[in-house]
Amino acid sequence: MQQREEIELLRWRISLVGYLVVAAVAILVFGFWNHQIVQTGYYDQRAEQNRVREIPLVAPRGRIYDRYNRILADNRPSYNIVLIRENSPHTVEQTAAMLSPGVDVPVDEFLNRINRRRREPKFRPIILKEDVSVGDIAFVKAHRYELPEISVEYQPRRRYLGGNLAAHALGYVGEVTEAELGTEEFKDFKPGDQVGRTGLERQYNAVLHGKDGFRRVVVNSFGREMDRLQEEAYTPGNDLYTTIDLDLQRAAEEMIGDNTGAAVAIDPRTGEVLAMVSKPAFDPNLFATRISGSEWTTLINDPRKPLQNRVIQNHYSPGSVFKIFMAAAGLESEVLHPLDSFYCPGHGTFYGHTFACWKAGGHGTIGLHSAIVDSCNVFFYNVGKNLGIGNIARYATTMGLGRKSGIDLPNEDPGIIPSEEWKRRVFKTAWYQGETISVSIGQGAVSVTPMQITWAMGGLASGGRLVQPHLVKPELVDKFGMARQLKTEEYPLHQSTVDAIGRAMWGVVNEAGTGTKARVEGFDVAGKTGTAQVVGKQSYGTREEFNDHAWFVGFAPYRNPEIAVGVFMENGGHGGTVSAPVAQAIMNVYYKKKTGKFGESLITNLTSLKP
Amino acid sequence: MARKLKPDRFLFLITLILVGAGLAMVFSSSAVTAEEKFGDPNYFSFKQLIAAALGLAVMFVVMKIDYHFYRHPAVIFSVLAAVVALLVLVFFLPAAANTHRWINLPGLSLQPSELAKLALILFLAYFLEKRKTNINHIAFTLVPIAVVVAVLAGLIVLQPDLGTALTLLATAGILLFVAGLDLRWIAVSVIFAVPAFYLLVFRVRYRRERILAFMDPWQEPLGRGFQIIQSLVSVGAGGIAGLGYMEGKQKLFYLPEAHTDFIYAVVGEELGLVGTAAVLALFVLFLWRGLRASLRAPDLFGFYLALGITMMVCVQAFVNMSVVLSLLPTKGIPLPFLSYGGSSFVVMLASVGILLNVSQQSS
Repeated sequence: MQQREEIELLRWRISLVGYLVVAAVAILVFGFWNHQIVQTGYYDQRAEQNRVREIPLVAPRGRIYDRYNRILADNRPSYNIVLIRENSPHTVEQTAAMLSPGVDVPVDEFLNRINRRRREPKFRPIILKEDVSVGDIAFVKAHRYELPEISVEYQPRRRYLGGNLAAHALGYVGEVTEAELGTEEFKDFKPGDQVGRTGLERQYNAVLHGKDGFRRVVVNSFGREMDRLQEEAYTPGNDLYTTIDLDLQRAAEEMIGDNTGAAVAIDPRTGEVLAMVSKPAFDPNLFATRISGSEWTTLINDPRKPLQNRVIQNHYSPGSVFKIFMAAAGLESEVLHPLDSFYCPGHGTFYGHTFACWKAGGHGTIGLHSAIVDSCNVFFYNVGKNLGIGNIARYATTMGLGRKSGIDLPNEDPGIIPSEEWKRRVFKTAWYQGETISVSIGQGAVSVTPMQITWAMGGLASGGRLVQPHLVKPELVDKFGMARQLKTEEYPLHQSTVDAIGRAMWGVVNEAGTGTKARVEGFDVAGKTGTAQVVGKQSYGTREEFNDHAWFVGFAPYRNPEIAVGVFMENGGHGGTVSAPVAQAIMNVYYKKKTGKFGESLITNLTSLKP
Repeated sequence: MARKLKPDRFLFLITLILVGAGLAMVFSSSAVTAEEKFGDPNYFSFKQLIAAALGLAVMFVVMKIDYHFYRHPAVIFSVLAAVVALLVLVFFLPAAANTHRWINLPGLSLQPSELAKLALILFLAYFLEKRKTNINHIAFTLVPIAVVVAVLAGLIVLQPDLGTALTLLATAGILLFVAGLDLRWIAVSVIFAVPAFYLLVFRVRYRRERILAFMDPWQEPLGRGFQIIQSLVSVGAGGIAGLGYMEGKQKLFYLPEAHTDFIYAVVGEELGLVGTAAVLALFVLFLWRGLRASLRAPDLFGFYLALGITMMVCVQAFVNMSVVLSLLPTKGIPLPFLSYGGSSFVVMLASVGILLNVSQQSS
């Protein structure tokens, strides 16, 4: 054991190391004793006083403007009452009980809100009441010493200057949902952030949303700011410039009034949407502060569905308006000759079934022009029979029906253009020839959104040129990586077809036709009315309302149109009496503005509209 | 050496308790920060759990390897060469936080300076045993040792990581002292160390700041004194029994690096004097069992190996605790077994594996 002896020789040195270690341990023990027992009060206090708090600096959303830079939506200052549970001298129940009478909110509501965010870190503020009054703020400030855990926080809030004006196009904002937070688009958002929920607010959320900043401060036990550690300013959201013309928008809204319906105006040359109305509307300002449960229930349960954007989210039978597209399809496929005429005895028999014309006595022998002006069914039954459902579907789809127009709004409905393939896919049955006859006059399964039929009409009147409709010019959102190349589709269409149809539609409005109420003196308005039966002979729908829907779709001037307008009045009755006046109102304002005769009535800014 | 003996179970148990306590504290001190930063409260804990599993596996394997396997020049010098190569390699890799400390591989990052500590202990144990009769011979013993220590410590200082370099020097110093280094040489190195220390500490801005902060943290309580004050506040707020596990507030962002170098402060805040004393006691027990294994080692190689490893662990532990108590200036040294950090964890557990093997062969 020679090795052992060697170790023995070094023993004193090992011992010395040992003593040093013991000394080190002794110092450590003393140190902890000193800190944790003797001086614990001092450090306790120090820890209480030395609190860092992060105050969010909420970025305002970008404003939304109309096409002439009139503000549609901006932000107003508002304050929230928040609770920071960390270091609170009270239990949350005590806090709620003390605060409740002062700011007029039931204790249970406070506790509900706190419980929902119970698991979050205690230093995160919990909003107890949004958008508080000056009185509420005064109460909180006056009780700063009794309730140091309660403070007032600034938050810019969305304000829609026109109330429910253009509500469906603009959309509304609300708190980001938990499901959204998990997605790539919202990865930089945190719970409680305001994001666009529908409409343009949703579509261009990335443009409108700014980047929040924060201020990190040291606060004392009363929540008073003692020192500022770090500050990062917010970046406000970017403004959005839309193509909406407030004057047209207002004219349409006032004309529809309290009825249920929709109206849309497009510039077919550019695809710009000039007005978009859906009624009944809602006030998006309700959503800017936390919408109350009863308000939400009222909106959701309203049988007239005010939240739905009828221009793009609902589809309806086009009725006689569809005859225009039948005429174009017939002429282009050459199954219909411009000089063809059919005999209308008031009804027609096809495939063993009798189909009625709206005029009991019949139109007699009738050509294309009169068939459109007088809206003869029998004429178009024959056109439809000769075309066959395959051709109808093909032409209608090409012209822009039965598919999404591609407008820059979420949740667009594609509508339905039936075909043999569609029937097989949806109903697993074969196509009945008789259905083709119903489709010919826009009944049966044909179903379109006001948006797409207006777009298609504008495209047809412009010689077969369809520009993707939009509310925001792509170049204005280019830098946000949101610019889509606007799609322009051109389909072959003979000028003679455009002329024949244009003339006939001019006749509808300006001769003794069904749409004379859409007439604008000096502005060659062309159009077509439609009255869609809700429950037809072959009904695919399940709706219970029995009143007819009223359509008017038109454009002006009838050569090289600048504006296409579609109006749809739900259960409104006759298109010519109910819908044509709305279209007239829009085109009248358009024409007056164009000719400079509207000057004094121009809306300069929306606040002047408020009562 | 073919005696069938069992490794020191007590030492084994102490290590397991420390590892378990470490995992619990890493979770407590990092959950909120991890959720804020990565949206997952388990982000750090999960990585630490993986490191612990890997480290314990390594420890079990190393424990089964007869430590005499390392006593060959081929092994010793390959390990040394590999470590030097890795230490040089880090300078060619992109810097993280302005330092060249890590080699980032997919899934893990390796800190070669942690390996250097173990490599140096292996080398010293081998070399001191070989030169046992000529410990104070300049050319034969001292120069080679000085060269190896200088290269390793020098490369680590350049990273820069002065704290780890000092741990390395302290461990080497203790081994040389115990080996019987002439007191004159110790005096000489102290004389040389003073100007070197001055250059390294007072000429480098952030280190000088740390020293100044250490001297008087209250001078700039929100600036350079912030971390020390927050550490003291954490420990002090704990009192005797602490605020309770997971209940600490300082870690929420008052105390920087709560889950790494200052995890002991979180122990102090949440578990109080009871917790800090318990952890300190565990390290004292570790020291006792380690020294016991060392003194009972069958040969000098085992003696130095066990002593070096024990000292490495305990020096780091005591220094870390002293920093938390502001008895020493801030160093950036993790608390062995408890602090978050994979490399240190795995190397420490591998070292304990060697130590356990030495204890198994004690006479």
